[in-house]
Amino acid sequence: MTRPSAHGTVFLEARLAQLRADGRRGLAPYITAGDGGLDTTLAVLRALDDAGADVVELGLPFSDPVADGPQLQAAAERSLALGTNLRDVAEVVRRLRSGDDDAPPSDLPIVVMTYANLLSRRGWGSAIGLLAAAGCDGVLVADLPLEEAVVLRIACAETGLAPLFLVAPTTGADRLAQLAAASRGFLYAIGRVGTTGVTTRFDEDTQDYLGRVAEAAGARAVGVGFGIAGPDDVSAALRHADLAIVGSALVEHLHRAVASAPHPSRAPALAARAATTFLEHLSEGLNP
Amino acid sequence: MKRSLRGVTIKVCGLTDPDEALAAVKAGADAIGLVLHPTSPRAVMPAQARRVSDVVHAMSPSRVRVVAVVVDAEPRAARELAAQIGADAIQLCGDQQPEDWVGFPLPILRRIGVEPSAEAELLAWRPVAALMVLDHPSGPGGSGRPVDHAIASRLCQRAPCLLAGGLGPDDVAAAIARVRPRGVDASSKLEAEPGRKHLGRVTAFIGAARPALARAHGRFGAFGGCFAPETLVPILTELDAAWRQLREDSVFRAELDQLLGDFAGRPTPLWPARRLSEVLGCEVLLKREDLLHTGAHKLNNTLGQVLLAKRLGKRRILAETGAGQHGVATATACAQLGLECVVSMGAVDAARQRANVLRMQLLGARVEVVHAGQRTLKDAVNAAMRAWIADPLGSHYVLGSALGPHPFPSMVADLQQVIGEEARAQSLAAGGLPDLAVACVGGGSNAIGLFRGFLTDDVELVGVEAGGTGPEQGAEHAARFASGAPGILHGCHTFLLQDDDGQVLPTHSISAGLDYPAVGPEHAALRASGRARYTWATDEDALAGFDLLARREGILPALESSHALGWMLRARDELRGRRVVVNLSGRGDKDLDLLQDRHGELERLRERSGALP
Repeated sequence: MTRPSAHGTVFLEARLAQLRADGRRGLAPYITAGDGGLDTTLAVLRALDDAGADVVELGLPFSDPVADGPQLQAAAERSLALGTNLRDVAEVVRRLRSGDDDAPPSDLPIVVMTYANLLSRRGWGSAIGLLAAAGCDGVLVADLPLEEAVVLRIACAETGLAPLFLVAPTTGADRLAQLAAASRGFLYAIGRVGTTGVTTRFDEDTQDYLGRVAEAAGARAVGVGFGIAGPDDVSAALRHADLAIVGSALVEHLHRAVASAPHPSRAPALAARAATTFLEHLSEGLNP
Repeated sequence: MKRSLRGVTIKVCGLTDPDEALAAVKAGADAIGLVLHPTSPRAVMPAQARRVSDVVHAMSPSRVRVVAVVVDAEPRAARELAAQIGADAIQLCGDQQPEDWVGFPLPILRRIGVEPSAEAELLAWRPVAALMVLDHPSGPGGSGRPVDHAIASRLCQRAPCLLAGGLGPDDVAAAIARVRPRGVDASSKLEAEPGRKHLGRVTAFIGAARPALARAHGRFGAFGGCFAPETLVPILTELDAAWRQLREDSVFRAELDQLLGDFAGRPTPLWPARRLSEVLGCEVLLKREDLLHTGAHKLNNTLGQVLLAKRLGKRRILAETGAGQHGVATATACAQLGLECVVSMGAVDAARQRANVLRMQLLGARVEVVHAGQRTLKDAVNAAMRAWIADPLGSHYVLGSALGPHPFPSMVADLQQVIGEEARAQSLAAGGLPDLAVACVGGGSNAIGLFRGFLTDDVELVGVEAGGTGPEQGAEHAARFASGAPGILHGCHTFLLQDDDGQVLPTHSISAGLDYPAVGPEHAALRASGRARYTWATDEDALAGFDLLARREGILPALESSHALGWMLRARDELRGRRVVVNLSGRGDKDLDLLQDRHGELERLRERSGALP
């Protein structure tokens, strides 16, 4: 398998190091691959790149997403009804990287987010190899704790893809240090106890926790996700973190745009425009 | 045929004799090591190795791997030697280079000396070796000396490893708890004299290692594990530690025993079902879990877990339910012990088990009806897990079957094994051990509860899954072993009904309690090891089994339990003259609405089965 050698752990970490060197903080939008069709996904990725997204989290949908709230579960169901699978997600990334008549090649960093069974079913090595060959940069598996991740980390080490891990407010100090050491690219901090899609209150306890995460991460970048919907949340989330991850709110916004399309062929363009305006809106939180 | 080393967790090394090798296999070893290094005290000549290998393969054609252990060998010589003795894998010790072994036709185990610099060697071998064997750094082969646990523990994070180094029956459990290896490998400490194994020590070693590995990882062979979102992982770790402590705590045990006895009605009887036996042509003993308070075995589990939750200071209990039996049992335990209770239930199940919805509400529980997905048990589990993720500190999730992330499969089985312990003692008192123990399998808690009582006896164990309208591909059913494949759902690695992409498939069963796409991981392991076998009964088989028990014994069984009876009706020829313990896991009152709709079918099925005159 050939792979765009520029992408993977080294590329992702260099990008995030540059973000910090520039004294900036960034946005990491999450979208569910195949929601509204794969052409919509490609158009949205390009729009997010143009609008200045620093990393995109691309969700490979699973039938039973226990870590997600109702919005992302509904998006997964819509996407699966259209038959989206691992190969499709790899193909979208490959098209993004290669460029075509509509758009030039893009090097937007991409982290694939999914659940363990989709990778285990294909075989960890083969699944990770496919994503790496397509030009993905990292992978994050919502139901794969560090203790179960030996095989994933081996597959990532062999292909250069970054294995990312999550920390939660329930994670203790020792474990936090272990996860910070194991996570490549960035360390994903769950902002709140709960599933995705419920508003996070960035109160003093939350900020204390995010401060501890940043300290444990050291030179490693930190992304904060779960319940970030508007510029105020972005601003609060970035007090201790490098990246604000925005999922459910964006996915709902894009879905409304797709649903409003008078004809399915218009969906990609409408979703792309919606992605642009949403990201511009969120960007207000970057420079309060 | 190339067979992987997946599922290999206990290797007994240095065997020299076919009878001893057979004994090790019978005791439960996954792999047998034959040392082909001439100067080893446990060396075997190739011809003798071939004899050992042949008898092991004859006895266990699919499960046990024969490993050829070589020192300083070249790939070509090793390949010829492995072929000569019929080995399934090769273990490399001594001076070899990983790059020479790329593309070797058999799976490779690599011996790694545990010392501070070992990580580089392990990483170099990782692309070619499927398993590492962690041994003391002295000498090329088995050292018999213990390794540095701290270093070994780090190495186990980097690659799948078997821990070796002079492990014996007395210290293996503690070493596993500290190092958390994939598996263990032992040789010298299991010997009566160099080269001759002491069979008692081999059995004791495997008996100590197997549960220790299960506790360290929640692993049952290749199955189980803890595939939970990070928010829950620390909570599950705490739960695991609490359960390990409390299950040995005499005050906790006494309180639980009193609840199980005077509140729930244990022990439940073992009823010799004579009129049923006449029809089936075998001797049937019914384990009457249907007589337990709330009408099913579920209360054994919920009383234990709610009592545990109370000890942990939780104020709220979450649960999922399919048929409603687990929901009712949870609501009952919460009412008895004074905790708040919220039960998730799929909308389809809430409609077909209305009576149980009302029972839960009358007991003071809140029933959350789930409208997502297929709106059955799987979706109720999703909802309950989400509710737990939202409040992991204040709530405890009482999972209702021997499923989910570690420690649930072990903990639920621990709480349900009272069924098998009683049934064993009762059957002995009633004339002797049974030939078979039979139970229906949804998640599999009633079945594992029964099976655990007979695991070390010469008793055949049979689990009956829901065959729905027929377990062929494409038909609607919940027979995971008939057409499923290994996968990860709701926290554990087990057999799962899924499509080629790994998406979970819809299921169907007449009984809500069996209508679930995954099976408990301990069952997956019992099937893989050949200790239990799994079959299925269709919706119609279950109805016929229900009718039979109602008319011949005056007992209305739950449609779940009716699957076990339905299979026995179909398997009459095989069962003739044998003694069978059947777990009657629940009573059928909850199914009256459904039976009213299908009442007309019972007579037709009765005629067809010819079971009743």
